[in-house]
Amino acid sequence: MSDSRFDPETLSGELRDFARKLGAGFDSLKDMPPLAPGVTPRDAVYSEDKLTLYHYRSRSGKQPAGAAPVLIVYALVNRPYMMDLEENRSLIRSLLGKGLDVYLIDWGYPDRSDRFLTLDDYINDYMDRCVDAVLSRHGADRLNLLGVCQGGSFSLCYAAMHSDKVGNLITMVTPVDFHTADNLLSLWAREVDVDLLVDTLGNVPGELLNATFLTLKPFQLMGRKYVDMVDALADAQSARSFMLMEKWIFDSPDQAGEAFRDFVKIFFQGNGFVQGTARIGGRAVDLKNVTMPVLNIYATRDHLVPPDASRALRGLVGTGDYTELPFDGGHIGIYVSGKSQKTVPPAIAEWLSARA
Amino acid sequence: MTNSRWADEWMRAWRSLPDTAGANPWVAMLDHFTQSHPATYEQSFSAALDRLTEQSRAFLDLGHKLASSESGGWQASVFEYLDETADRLRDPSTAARAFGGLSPLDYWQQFAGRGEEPTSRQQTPVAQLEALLRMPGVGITREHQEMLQELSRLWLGYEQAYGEYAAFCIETARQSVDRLRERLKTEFGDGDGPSSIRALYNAWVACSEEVYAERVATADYMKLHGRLVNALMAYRRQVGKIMDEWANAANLPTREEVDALHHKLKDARQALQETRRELRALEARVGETPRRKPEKRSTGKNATKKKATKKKATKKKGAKKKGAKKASGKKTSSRRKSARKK
Repeated sequence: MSDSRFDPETLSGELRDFARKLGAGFDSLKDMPPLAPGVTPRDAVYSEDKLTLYHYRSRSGKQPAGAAPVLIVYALVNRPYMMDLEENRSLIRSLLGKGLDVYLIDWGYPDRSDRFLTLDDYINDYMDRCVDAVLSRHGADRLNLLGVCQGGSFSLCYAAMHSDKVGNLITMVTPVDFHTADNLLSLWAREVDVDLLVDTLGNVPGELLNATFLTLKPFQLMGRKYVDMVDALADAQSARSFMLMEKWIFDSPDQAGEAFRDFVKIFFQGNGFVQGTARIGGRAVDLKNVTMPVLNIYATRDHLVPPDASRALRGLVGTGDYTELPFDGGHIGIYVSGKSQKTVPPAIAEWLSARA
Repeated sequence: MTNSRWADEWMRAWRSLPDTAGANPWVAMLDHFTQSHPATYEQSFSAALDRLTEQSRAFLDLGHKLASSESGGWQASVFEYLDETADRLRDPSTAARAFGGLSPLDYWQQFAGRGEEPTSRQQTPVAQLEALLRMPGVGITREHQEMLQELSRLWLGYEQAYGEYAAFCIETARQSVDRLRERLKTEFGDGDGPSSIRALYNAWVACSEEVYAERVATADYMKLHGRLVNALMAYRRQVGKIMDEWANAANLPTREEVDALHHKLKDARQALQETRRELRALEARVGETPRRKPEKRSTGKNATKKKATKKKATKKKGAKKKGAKKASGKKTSSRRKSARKK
């Protein structure tokens, strides 16, 4: 029986290597300039309150002629620069490279003056005016809508209530059925008195949402990740990539109180899409009114939005043109992994091209 | 000298230091380094650096204990460490820190702002707020007394919920230790054991995640989580009410007043948006109104007569109009009139 791998000398050698890497890691960080995420040039074409609508410029400087615009609707709970993180990890850049004309709504950072914004304000006011702004620029009647995560839920609501303005709908890692057995967030929200929470806190702090997301996998996300960080800091590029991700993870805006109350009660607690009880601004949201073509992309190892939570869309929409695209990865890998850049944008472009 | 070489220099220096028995040179190195190299990094990196430092300290602590164990064989050293951890978890005074910052309890404490445990009655949250209300010019009233009593009750409720949550986290850690012990026995038996400290650490994280995932997906945890959040919010809401009382006495805006202002602002904004929508709809309708076709001009003998008749009629109309203008004092155009009719 040999214990050579676990003898004091071998273990001390491992600790010395770890200490060296840690020291080298501190060097990498010391030399690293401030991070500025977002690599694709863009123009602000509309703004209102905290919101900005951006139009991305292609590398060639020429916008695709005749291409129906794609409007990306991101979640409120994180910042949208995840979709344009780095040169070789930018879903937006990849979409532009496939000839698509891309817009994105940046919701901004709500403050106390946004306390009483509701989902109706976000979806039927802000989002609708952004859609109108894009349509007006293109002289078009309809656009392509691409909703991400909670933004996908918003896009489903929008498409159900304003189907005349949406030509094609793409949802990415979008929760539809919030009560699947493996949806921990929804389970944890069931016994929370969200009225008390919002009435007490006003806007819901980004730190609270962060802590909740991290406690989905606390030992991995707050423990092992930082021990593995010494390996990531080994070279300047991987160190920068790590720190960009870190910046994004902890850059969580506060949530406008009433919109948070609406979303938790209608979806997390009420499972509104599935139960048919979702109402926004007094209007019923019936996914049977989603009659335009739908592409539903989900991540097979998504711990935030389990696959079954997304796949439930199939049985709820009214369209006869429904396509699912599984991505072998996680909730974040779907935007930033090298694998996703090679598979997801081409699939989106091809699917849209067939329905132009 | 780069930091990576600094580690080697440190170990050489460490060995020459007297009386370092039992101390962890790696943790000492890390602590010395972080204290002697403050603020040389981009400010936005500081939180990540803190987490890197904390988890590295925990890893180095684990590694040093295993490397300096005098027990024979990997099983002896590893299981000795696991036994010590299990003992720390059974002791209430050390349980919460048994995993060195690797516990959901830590994240909750960061959000909830638990702060230091009160060491005297004067330091309890209730006592501190009582002092605020006793300030000159504020003066404690019967209403304030009732609010403080309610606050005490809510604080006790939160303490109870927090205690239950802490017990849950500690039990999860204890079960993780047992799960790791079983896994190591199953996977390695009497063989060579884990390939490295990192392999052991990763196995421990995996076991912890497994046990945690099983325990937080239950109805019991759902209720425990709800009780914890709701108790903290109820307590905070009462604190907010007391702070509003104090602010009111100090002639400062209260939360209630500011919220009312924001509500009014939002209502006004909504009314403005509605008005804009109606205006756009009206503009669209006006744009749809067909133009009146110009009358055909006839040529020939009767044209002059018709023209004269028309002139008279126009003059009469003009006189009527003037009269109407004088009466109403308003200007109207024939186009607007016909649009209104439609």
